[in-house]
Order: sequence, then C-alpha cells, then structure tokens
Amino acid sequence: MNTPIVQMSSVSKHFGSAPVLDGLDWQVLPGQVIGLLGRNGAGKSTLLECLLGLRETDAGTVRIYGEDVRNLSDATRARIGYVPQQCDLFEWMTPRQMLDYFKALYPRWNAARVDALLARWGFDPSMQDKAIGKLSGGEQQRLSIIRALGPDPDLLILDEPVSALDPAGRRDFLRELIDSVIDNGTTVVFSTHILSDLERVALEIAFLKNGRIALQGQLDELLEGARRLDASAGASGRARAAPISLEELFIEVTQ
Amino acid sequence: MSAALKDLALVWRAALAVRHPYAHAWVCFLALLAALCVGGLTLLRVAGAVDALLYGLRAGWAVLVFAWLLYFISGAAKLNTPANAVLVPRMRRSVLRLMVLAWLSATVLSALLALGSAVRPQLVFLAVGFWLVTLGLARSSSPVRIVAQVVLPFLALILIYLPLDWRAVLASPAGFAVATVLLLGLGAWTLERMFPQGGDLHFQQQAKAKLAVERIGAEGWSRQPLIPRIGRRLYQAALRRDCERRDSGALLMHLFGPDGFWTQRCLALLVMVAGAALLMPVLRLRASPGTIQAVANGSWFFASTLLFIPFADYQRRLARLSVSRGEQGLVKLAPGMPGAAAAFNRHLAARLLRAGLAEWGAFSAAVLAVVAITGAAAETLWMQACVCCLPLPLLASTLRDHARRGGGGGAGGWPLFFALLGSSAACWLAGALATRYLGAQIMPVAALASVVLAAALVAWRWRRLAGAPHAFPVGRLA
Repeated sequence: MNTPIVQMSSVSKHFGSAPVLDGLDWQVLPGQVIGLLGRNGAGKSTLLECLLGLRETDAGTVRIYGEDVRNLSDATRARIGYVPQQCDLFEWMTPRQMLDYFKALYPRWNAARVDALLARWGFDPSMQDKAIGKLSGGEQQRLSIIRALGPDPDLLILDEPVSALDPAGRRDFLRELIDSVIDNGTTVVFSTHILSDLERVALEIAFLKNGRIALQGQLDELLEGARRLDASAGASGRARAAPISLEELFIEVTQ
Repeated sequence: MSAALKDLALVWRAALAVRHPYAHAWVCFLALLAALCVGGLTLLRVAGAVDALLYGLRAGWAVLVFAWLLYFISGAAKLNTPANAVLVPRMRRSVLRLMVLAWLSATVLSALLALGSAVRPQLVFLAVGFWLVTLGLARSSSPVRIVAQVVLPFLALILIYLPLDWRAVLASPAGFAVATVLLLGLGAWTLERMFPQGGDLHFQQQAKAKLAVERIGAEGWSRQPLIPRIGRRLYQAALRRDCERRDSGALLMHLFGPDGFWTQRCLALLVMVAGAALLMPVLRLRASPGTIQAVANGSWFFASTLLFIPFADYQRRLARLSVSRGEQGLVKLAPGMPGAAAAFNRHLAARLLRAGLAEWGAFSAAVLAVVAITGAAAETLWMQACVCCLPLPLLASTLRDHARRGGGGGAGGWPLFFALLGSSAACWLAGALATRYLGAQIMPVAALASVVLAAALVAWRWRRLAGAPHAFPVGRLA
C-alpha cells in the first residue's frame, strides 16, 4: 500500500549552465495531497514536467506507478490528470468539442461529472458553443481543470491551477478538489503561490529550493515545529515560542 | 550621420529584425549565390568575362531587391502599429521614406544594369517599378491585395510577352512619361494601403475582431462568407467523426488547426477548377483565337505556381507545431496515443506523410485539370504531369526530429526553397545525362528521378525516427 506512486531519484535538469533540479529525490505516496512551494523560478513547473515525462532529465530516474516515465503504459497514462500552468486548449474548438476530443483519447471518461462541473462552473450552452480562444483566462483555466478531471484520475498534477481564477472560482475549485477528489483517495500534487488556498487543502507541503526538496512534511507539524523563539517576550527574560504563519515559514525556508 | 539617416537606418534594421534576426546574412548569401551561379554559367556558355560579370551582377541585384523587399515589406508592416503611431510618431514617416527610397533605387539601378542588354532600360524601369508596387500591394492588408496576388506572377513575364508595338510606345519619351506618372500615382496609393495611419489601422483591426467574435456565435454564422463557412462546417463534421471513431491518427492532425485541414484545401481546389471550367467557355465565346492560344500556352506557368502551396503548407504546419506545445503535452499523456517514442514518432510521421501525399495528389490533379480545361495540348499536359513530380522529395521534410528541431524554423520557407532547388537541379541533371547518353526525354527522367529520390529520402528519414526522442512537445531539446 505504501509503494510510492511517484519516485524521483537523483534527478538533475539544467537549462544551459544553470541547474534547475540538482540531484532531486522525491516520493509521492498513494493518497497524499502535497502542495509544492518554491520561489519564482525555483523550478516547480520544470519538476512537474519532468515528473510527467514532458521534459527529459539530464540525470536520474522518474517512475510513476513503478513504470519508467519515458515509457508509460496506456493504463498508467489513463490514471493521470494534468493541469498545466498555461491553458493551451485548442483555442479554435468549442469547450464541448475539446472535451469530446479528449474523451475519444481516454478509455474511461466520467461524462456525468464533466457535465455537472460544466453546469456548476458556469458553462451554459451558449458558452459551450463559443471558441475557447474567446473565453477569459479564468474560464479557460476552469475548463482545463474540468478536462483533467474527466478521466477520473488517480494521480492529479496541478501546476498553479488557480492563478487566473477569481476568489469565487477558487472557492468552487477548492470545494470540488476536497469533496470529490481528495475524499475519493486521489493523490494530488499541486503547486501554487496562494498560500491561503494551500492551507485549506494540502495536508502536506514540500519546499523546492536550490533544485532539491529542502523541506517536506505535514503542514500542521511543520508549522508547529517552526515556532519562532521570541526572546524579547516577558519581563522574566525567558524565551517564548511564538507560532508562525505559512507565509513566514515560506520566506524562512526559501530565502 | 544625420538624424534623418540614422532614423532610416534604425527603421531598416528594425523591420528586418522583426522578420528574422539573420535576414541580412540570408539575403547577402542568396545574392552572392545567384551572382556566382549566373555569372559562372554565362562564362561557361558565352565565354565573355564582361558579359559574365554583367549577368552575374544583374542576377545578384535581382535577388537582392526581391529578397530584401520581401523581408522589409512584411517587417515594416509590423512596425506600423497603433502603439507606435502614438509613441513613435516619426516611425510611419520613416518607413514611408525608406520604402520610396528602396523602390526608387531598385528601379533606377535595375534600369542602369539593363544598359547594354537587348531590353531597353525604360522598359526595365517600368517593369521593375510596377512589379515592386504590385508586390507591395499584394502584401498589404487592403482587399485589393487579392487582385495584386493574382496579377503578380504574370507581371514577371511582362517583358517577354508584351507585344513589340506596345514596347515601342512605352519606350518613347511621351509613353514613358505617362507610364511613369501612372507608376508614381499607383505607388503613392499603394503606400497608403500598405502603411495606413496607425489610428485607422487600429479601428479597422477592432472592427475585424468584432466581426470575428460575432461570427463565432451561433447567430453569426450567416455573416460569414460562404466558402470559409462551408470549410469550417466540413472541418467540424470531420472532427465529430474522428472523435466518434476514436481514430488517434486523425485526432492527431487536429493539432494543426482548421486552416491547414484537408477540407479547406479541397474546397479551395474545387472552387478553382470550377472557376476555370466556367471561365473558359466564356473566354472561347468572347476572346480572339490569339488570346485563347496565349491562355492555353501560359496556363502551365500559373498552374505550376500552385504546386508550391502544398509545400508552403508543410512549412506552415511545422510552424503551427511550435505554438501548440501546451496541447502537445496533453496529447502525449493521453492513453489513446502510442506511448513509446518510436511508435509515436512513426504514428505522427505516417499521418503527416499521408496528408502530404494526399495534398500533393489533390494539387497535381487540380493543376492538370486547369491546364486541360484551358485547352493545352497533350504534350503540355504530359510535361505538366512531370513537373508535378519535381517537388515530391520535399515530402521527406515532414519526417524529422521534432523534439530537437522545433517547429517551422525562423528562416521562413528558405530552407525548403533551397531543398526544392537542390533536388530539382539533381533531377534535371539526371534527366540531362539520360538524354545525352540514352537518348531519353529529359522531363520524364527528371520526374522519375524525383520519385526515386523522394522514396529514398523518406525511407532514410523513417528509419532515423526510430531513434529520435518523443516528438512532443516539439522543440524542447532544441
């Protein structure tokens, strides 16, 4: 049961002479919901792309469900859902055509769920007949999420999935993520800069720094263990451990 | 250097850099190549050093003018944006000045280079001038550009087919003066079409965007022109069918968008053949026998230019791949596609090859149909069929290491053009050798050599695909 779904060993990736991933080791276990954090340019998207085999690594191995990522079987690929950072979704097609396109490429497709999400997330019939290129950035991102959820994935990789969504859209997305993805035991890895969202969803967080996972653990435990010593507190001169926020922890770890 | 000259130099470089960072180098290389080839051939045939030098200079100059203006016009058009109209008010003025300067120097120098040749310099001045202005109009955003695009290939032949008495009239002082005034008027009008005021351009673009949005809505379909509307409906029907059949190869081809889809091309070809079929009976009724004969004799030239379209489509298709990398990642992860790199690459290559062959077949059939409709002789038809085979080796260009090469290539269609030039030259050489040693006809042998060369290149590249990394997303290893 505890066999890792994703296993990255000694993964390195350079762009020119600049190392982005530097001997990275990482595991994702079944059912884990991991929020991937890192500063701009830390390599989060590169890490997720290497994880999925969309980018070649310079060194190391990546395995998903025990298979080499360079040669994934059809059955394994059918279990993966992916929301890329940029929603490139056949902009000349309508949402309905694009979803039918991917439905034809997956052996399992939850049409009822897709229809329900389309209805819940504001894709009325007229919007479904509009070219994707004419939709707003937020609408395209919602569509990208719906597309990724269509095949009922067991492993969901989300690369900044809410960056273009307004607060209402983010709330809808998080509700969906909690109610019908995480509660079903789906393994989720997602990167985001919106820490408040992460606190509501992720049980575990991983910090990417200098091309490696610098820190990973249960969110509560990390926050608990990272209490700041407040030496100035109290006239008695005894240091007091003050709680810190995720934002402070993020700055502390990634600085 | 004065401020005005500095302005012009800056705009010149900016316009070329918009098109391609190495445009200067490309153009100079091409001009040198043309000068050396033509000069060398002249030296071989005529054995006169002065003649060879003159012919070489003329060829080099022609390429220089053609290529530079081709690059400059499209680059300059991109500089004439609404933002530049507000932020860099001198930009449009400088572009206009530079264009006039380029036109003037090209026409005057061409006329000077014609001194000592059989063609009168006045005629060269007018022919080059009208050709350049028409080229500018053809590259503008004006609706008249379609007329210019049709006229352009024929203008290239004007000095060959212009009747002698017309030439005499145009070369006379009065005729030359009238024609020059006409040329200047047309040039000024064309400049306005090519570089409209930034504000006007902005509002025109807004109106077009609004129309495009309205056309997308269900209620807006009726506002779309008939042919694109039918083409789009056919594309949507094909997409629906491919989704229902779960045909992964056909679905892969949808990555290239609706514009490059076979339905659009087939429709355009049908319209073209039908147009020729309707036009020719009218022409036979109304025109003189001389005109009908001229159309029959000259149709091959117009028809042959159509053969470039499928190969320009290959280039456009490859360029399209470079802007759909996001979609490619999603398609790569879809289980409906072959997973292993070699299997996927061959799946993609087979589809591209099939599409390329089908397009070539359709275009060749259309070309032959048009030539036949115009009443060309059987021998001309046979020669045309042989000419149709010459571009076949370019089919191999679609089978490449997409991961390392990326899409399109910034050099535009030049590599493909050179490949066509090289393969055609090799096939002609084979034909010439067969004529000399075996007494065979040159064109059928050249056509056969093209087919053999195409098969060999495709087989070689097909084998190499097995060892190439996964094609998608393209250009990630470039």
